[in-house]
Amino acid sequence: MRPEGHVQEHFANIEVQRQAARLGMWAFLATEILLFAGLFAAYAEYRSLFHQAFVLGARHLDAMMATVETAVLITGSFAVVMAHHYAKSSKAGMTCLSLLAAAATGLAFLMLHGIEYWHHFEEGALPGKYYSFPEIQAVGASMFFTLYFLMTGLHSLHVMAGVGVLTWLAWRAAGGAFSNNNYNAVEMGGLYWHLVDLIWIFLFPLLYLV
Amino acid sequence: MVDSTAHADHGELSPARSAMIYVGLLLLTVATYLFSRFNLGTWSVVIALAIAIGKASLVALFFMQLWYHRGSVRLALATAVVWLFLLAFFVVADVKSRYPLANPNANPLWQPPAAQGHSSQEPSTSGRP
Repeated sequence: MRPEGHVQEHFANIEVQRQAARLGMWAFLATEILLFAGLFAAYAEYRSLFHQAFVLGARHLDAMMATVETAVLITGSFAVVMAHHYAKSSKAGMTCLSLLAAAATGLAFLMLHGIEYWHHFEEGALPGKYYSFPEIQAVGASMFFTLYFLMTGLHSLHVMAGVGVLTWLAWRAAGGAFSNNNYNAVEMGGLYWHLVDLIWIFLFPLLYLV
Repeated sequence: MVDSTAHADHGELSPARSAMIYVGLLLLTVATYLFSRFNLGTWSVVIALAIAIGKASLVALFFMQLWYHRGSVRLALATAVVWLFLLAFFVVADVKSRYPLANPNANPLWQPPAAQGHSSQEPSTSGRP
């Protein structure tokens, strides 16, 4: 393994190097927020145009299932916080386990969401012109489900990427790659996973509760 | 508020505090679900968004350590949030402030239907596409 704990020559010290990594990661996370911002703006616009359809759509979605999914993602976030803590304390085994637990919550989330998607496919609550759900025929109902699939779909892609990152980090942690002076990768992977959680925290009430 | 003290214990989020925040996030999740079961009209939107902002703040400040890391990283998040609101605000303001550019009769492109049942001519009553 490359000794990443070492300070690169263009940084004054390890703390400056860490701060640079953090800032780079946050700049990336900001662009991720802006990627979703377009969809949030579209949601605000179409909700204001087709209020009735959006209320009926949200009422139709399974809020209980989404609450469980939220709890699962929050648990994953907590697991990643613990992984960061263990990596800083040079506990390779616990770091690896925490990261695997976080990846498992991601898989659980995808499975639960897959079940939801399956129900929508069966009942015809599909995006755009494929919408054929007889129970909600308010104007704009297909727009609600279009946004629902776009927003949760894009979010699920991020969950998949996160599961990949966390698994890779767990693999490296098992090989003893992280220690109290080298835990940057765990921290950055963790930040990404928290952002996935953060976006879901807003998707959950907007799509399922109101 | 906590400027000097928090800066001194640089980036230390204790496992005990993270566990407390984790429990708090779960409680808020249950609370927002329970609130949504009541029909509170506009208030249900306000309450749901307030709880979401509370949860997001806990995640960003503690799990993502912004409470401990000051300066540039906070600016990155703040900028993204400001941009998000600018985009959403002006998109909605645009759509909500549109008005019909002309009444049907004043529309130079509009002609009265020649015969009943011929529906290809649709008098436009709204400026929306």
